[in-house]
Amino acid sequence: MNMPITIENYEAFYLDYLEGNLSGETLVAFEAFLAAHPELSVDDDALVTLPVSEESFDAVQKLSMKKGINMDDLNAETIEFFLIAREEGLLSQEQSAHLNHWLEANAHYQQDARLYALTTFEADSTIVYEGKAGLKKPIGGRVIPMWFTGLAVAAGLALLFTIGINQNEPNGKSEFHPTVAKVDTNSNSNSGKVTTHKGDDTVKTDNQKSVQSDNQTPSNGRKKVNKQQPSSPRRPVYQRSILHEGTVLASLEKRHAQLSSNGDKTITPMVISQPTKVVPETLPTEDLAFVTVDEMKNPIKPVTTRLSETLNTPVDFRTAKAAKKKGGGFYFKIGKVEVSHQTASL
Amino acid sequence: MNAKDYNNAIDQYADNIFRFVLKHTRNKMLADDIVQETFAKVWEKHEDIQVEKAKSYLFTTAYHCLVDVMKKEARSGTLDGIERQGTQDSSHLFDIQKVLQEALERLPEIQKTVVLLRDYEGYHYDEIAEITGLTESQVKVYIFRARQTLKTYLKDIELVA
Repeated sequence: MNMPITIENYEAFYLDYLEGNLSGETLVAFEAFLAAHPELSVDDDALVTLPVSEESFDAVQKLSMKKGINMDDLNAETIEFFLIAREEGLLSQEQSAHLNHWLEANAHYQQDARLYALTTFEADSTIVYEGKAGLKKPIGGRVIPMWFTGLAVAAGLALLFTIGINQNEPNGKSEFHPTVAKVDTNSNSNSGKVTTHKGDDTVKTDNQKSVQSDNQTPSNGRKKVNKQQPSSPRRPVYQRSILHEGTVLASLEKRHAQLSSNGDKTITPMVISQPTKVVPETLPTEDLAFVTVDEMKNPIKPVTTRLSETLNTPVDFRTAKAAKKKGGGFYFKIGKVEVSHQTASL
Repeated sequence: MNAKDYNNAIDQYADNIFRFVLKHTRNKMLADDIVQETFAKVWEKHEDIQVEKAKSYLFTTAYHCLVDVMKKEARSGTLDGIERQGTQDSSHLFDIQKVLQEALERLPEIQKTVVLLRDYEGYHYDEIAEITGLTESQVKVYIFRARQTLKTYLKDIELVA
C-alpha cells in the first residue's frame, strides 16, 4: 500500500472496506486506522443500504420503448406487452387477429387478457366542479368595479337632488346663468371693455324666460338696454360657459334681429367660445361673494377621472359649500355639456 | 382566447380537471384550490393562448399546480394520512371499480398521471408528454408499466377472493 490512510482520505478506504474490496495489507492498515480513530467508526445501523430491486427490465418495458409493433416478437415472455398494446389501441385489426389466434392456442393467458381489459379507467361524470360560476369573467367592454359604479350613481343622485332642491327655492337665491358677453358702453368701471356678465338681465335666454327686469318694457315684451341700474341685484359671476353654444347663439341671434329691426343697436350679443377670465379688480366687491369654478373642489376626483378615461371625454364635477362670505354651488361637465349652479353666501 | 372562450373552457374542462386532480389529491378542498389556481394562471395568459390549445394549456397548468401541491403536502404529511385512510376504507372489496381505484392509488404519481390523462381525457402519448414534460417514449413506458401493475393487483385480489 503506497498511500497512507489519513483523516482526509479515509472515506474512500471506508467505502472499499464496507464493500469488502480492501486487500489484506490495506485492510490491516485501515483497521489500525479505525482503532486509532474510533470516533470515525460508523455503526452498521447507521449505514443506508439500498435493497436489491426485484424489478428487472423486462420484455414489456423493452418492447414499449420500441417504435412500432412487430408481431414476430409475440411469445410467452412478451404476451403482456401485446395484451396491453391491444387495450391501448395500438394494434391494427390484423395484429389483433394474430393475437387472438395466439391466445386461442395458449388458453392459459386468457385470464391475463381479461384482467388487462379491466385496467382502463372511466371518469366518474357525477363528480363535478361546483365553483365554475365563480371562475367566469364578464364578457364585453371594460370591467367597471362596483365601487366605481356606486360612487358614480351616488354622485349623480347628489347632483339631481341638489338641482331639485334649489330650483324650488322661492326667493330665487340661485339660478342658472348663461354665459354671454356684452359691450358695456355705460359701465364706469369697465368702460370700453368687453366684460362678462353671465346672466345679466340685459340679455334674456331660453333658460331665463321667467326672469323679469326693471328695464323690461311691458308693451313690446322686450327690455331696453340701458346703463346698469345701481339698485339692480348683482348676479353671480361665472368664468365658464354653462349653456350649449348653439342654444345661446340661436337665442342671441333672434334677439339681435329684433333689435336691428327696431334700429336699436345698443347691444351686440356674441358668444364666447372659451371661458373669459374676469379680472377681480374690475368687479364690484359684492361679486366676490360668489364662488368661481376654480375655487370649487372635486370630491370624487377618482370617479370623474375613471369616467373620463372610460368615456374618453372630459368629465369634471366640482362643488363648494356656501359660507358666510362666499357662495356655494356645483359645476358639472361631461364632454361639451357643462352645467353649473350657484347659491348665494349665507 | 378572449373572455368568452375562457368561460367556455371553464364549462368544458373544469369538471375534467377537477376529477383529474381529485384522483391525485383525494382531497376535495385541495382539488378545488388547484382548479382555481389553474384557471387563474390561464386567465393571466389568456390573450396569448389559442383556443384550440386551451385544453392542453389547462391540463399542463393543472398538472404543474398539482405537482407543486403534492410536493408541499408530501412534506407536511397531509396526503399520507389521506392515503392510509383511503386504503383502510377499501381493504377488502370485490367491486372491480373500487379495487381498481385502490390499485390506482398505489401507483407512483407519474404513472397515475399518465394513466388518468390517457383514460379520462383520451390524450395521445405525445399530448401527455407535452403536458407532463416527459418524452413520448417515457409516457408509453409509464403507461405500460402502470397497466402491468394494475393487472397484477387485480390478479392478486382475485386469487385472495
